[in-house]
Amino acid sequence: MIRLRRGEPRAFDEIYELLRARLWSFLARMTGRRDQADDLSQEVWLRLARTAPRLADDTRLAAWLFTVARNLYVSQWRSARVAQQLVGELLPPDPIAAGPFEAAASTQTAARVERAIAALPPTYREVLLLCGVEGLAPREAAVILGTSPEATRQRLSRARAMIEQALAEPLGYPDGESP
Amino acid sequence: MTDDHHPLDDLLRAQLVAHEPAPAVAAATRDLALLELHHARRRSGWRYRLEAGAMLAAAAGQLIWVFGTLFGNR
Repeated sequence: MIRLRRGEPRAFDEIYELLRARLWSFLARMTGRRDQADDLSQEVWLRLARTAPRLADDTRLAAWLFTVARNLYVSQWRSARVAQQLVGELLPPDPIAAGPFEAAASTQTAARVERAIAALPPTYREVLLLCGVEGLAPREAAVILGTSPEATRQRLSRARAMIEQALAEPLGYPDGESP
Repeated sequence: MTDDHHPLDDLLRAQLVAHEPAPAVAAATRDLALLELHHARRRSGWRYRLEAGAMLAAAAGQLIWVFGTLFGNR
């Protein structure tokens, strides 16, 4: 942290290498789009660079970065929702989008998990990604999400139940065909 | 109320691997951020503040001179 505050490029590189993929994957799974994940991820890293000289010694960088990423996602989602309301009457509703990594999943199980995550409402998806995938404790995720630890635990419990239910359902094939 | 760790988490971590942005995007983001880091560091330094203060003082002096020339008593 001290090296980063001093503006040492190598300190930034170490953090960037360590957290780049995790942060980008979180944003891609939240937005469902790679291009939006690119934009938001870039803004997160720029904000870290701008803020670095003023960061406190005890700042937990992973939590800080996920907080900024989540706040940027929420702002972008609100803007998109307003825009969608303005043109909503002109466009048909979107079908449930596939996850951004579903096509790249190496196994059928991975593809199903990606799809189940993508189908979750954003409030449940974010808590499951932070706690279930990133391994944050609910009290840490609560700080990022701006909620109480108890509310976070409840959301997490509900999100897990929704995923379990989605994964327990039999595979659906178009028009009742079997593989 | 749930436990902090759940068996489902192991499945999620095993299946949901972290993906990378495109190499060109990752490199561009890094370069931009490093440039911003350099500027942020410079902005927070005493030398930059001194230079900025000197430039502001010089600009204020020139403004006063211009107003003095235009509207001052002769």
